[in-house]
Amino acid sequence: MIVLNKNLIIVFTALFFISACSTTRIDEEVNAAYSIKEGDSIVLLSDSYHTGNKTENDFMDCLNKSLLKKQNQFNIISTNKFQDIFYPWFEPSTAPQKIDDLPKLLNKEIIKNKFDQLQIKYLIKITGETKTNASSGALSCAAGPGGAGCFGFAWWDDTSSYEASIWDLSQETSIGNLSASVSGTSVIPAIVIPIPILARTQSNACVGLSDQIGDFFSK
Amino acid sequence: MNTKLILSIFIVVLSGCTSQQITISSSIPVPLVVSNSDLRVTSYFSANVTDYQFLSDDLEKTNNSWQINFQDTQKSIFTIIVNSFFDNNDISDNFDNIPENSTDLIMGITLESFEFLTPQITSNSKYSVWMKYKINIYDQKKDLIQNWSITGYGEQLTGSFEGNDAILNAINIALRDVGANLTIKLENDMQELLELVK
Repeated sequence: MIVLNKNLIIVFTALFFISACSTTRIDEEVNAAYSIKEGDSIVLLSDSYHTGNKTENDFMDCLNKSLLKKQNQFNIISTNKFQDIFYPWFEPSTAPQKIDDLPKLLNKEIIKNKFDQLQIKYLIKITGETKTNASSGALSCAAGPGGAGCFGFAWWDDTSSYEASIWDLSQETSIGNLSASVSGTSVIPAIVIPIPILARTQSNACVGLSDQIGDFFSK
Repeated sequence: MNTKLILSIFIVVLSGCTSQQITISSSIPVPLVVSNSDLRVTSYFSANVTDYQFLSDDLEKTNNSWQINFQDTQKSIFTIIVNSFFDNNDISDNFDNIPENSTDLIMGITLESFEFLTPQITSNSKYSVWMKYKINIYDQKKDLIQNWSITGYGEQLTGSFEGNDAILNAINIALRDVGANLTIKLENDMQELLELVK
């Protein structure tokens, strides 16, 4: 009985440390020359849900935090702080959706001055989302006077696909596009205790895209 | 007696009806606009802007009933916006109390509609909120010179939000959107307004 319990513990511990498989694809496109110097700032801004974009707030938070940790070459003004400072010009319903919309906004002296004051040189527009493509399996749990437990097997496929378009505010042009796409399958086997083995596609995409942005500006 | 009590409790539990009570107390940042110090402006707000309480009887009934208390949040938001454009902004209780020629421009703000959808109604995982306001603008003689409709929309995925935080956030986003749309409208039409009250 003790041997069986030991084996079970080993199996569950092994399962706990196994991470689900995921595939990452990263792309980069440079359209124009650029440079960034110490003291310059960049801002990450997600495209509006008014245009059908569904970039999650937690992905934007992750990207902001990840970029902040990874580099000290330039400043990052967090998305929320930027939107508050420039209210109401970069709200979901009012922010420029295309690079062509930018000159109209920058022609307003009060906005241009604020950009200059904060030394914001690049605006990075983020689009994309995490989608569940397929899911299957069954998991059932029950509880009784003698105890509780689950039995079954469930799995699902997620794809996290995000793009970053880098806008140069002084040139009023898009200087590059970056993308990260991560696909993975998560599984939950359950024999008494359910053990989730999750493919963290969104956090991997966040790490991938923040690495790319950092690399882009360090070249 | 005990049997009746147990039966009553059982029926209440079975029906699954819940009442959700939410209090709104959000604000918005001061808009980044150029203010005008020459114009005297007076604002007034309808009762459903100064202290609005939404009860879900106004909407199609679901198993949940909603009570949303906006307190004076809407009034505060509109005041922040009007103050950011006009240094001389007074607030009046109502339109009738504003004497003719006491001000250059009068702005009256009324809530026309407040609607929302819950995941329970739409079978998806988000709350959606719409708000629509009527804004009447009068000159110093109290003649109507402009009539605007300003809307706001907010949506929030339930995600990791707990309790009523998701709908609360959707309402706050919608209010912020109302503020943004009014600011843009004022900015775009400012020249025309100044011409009209000359």
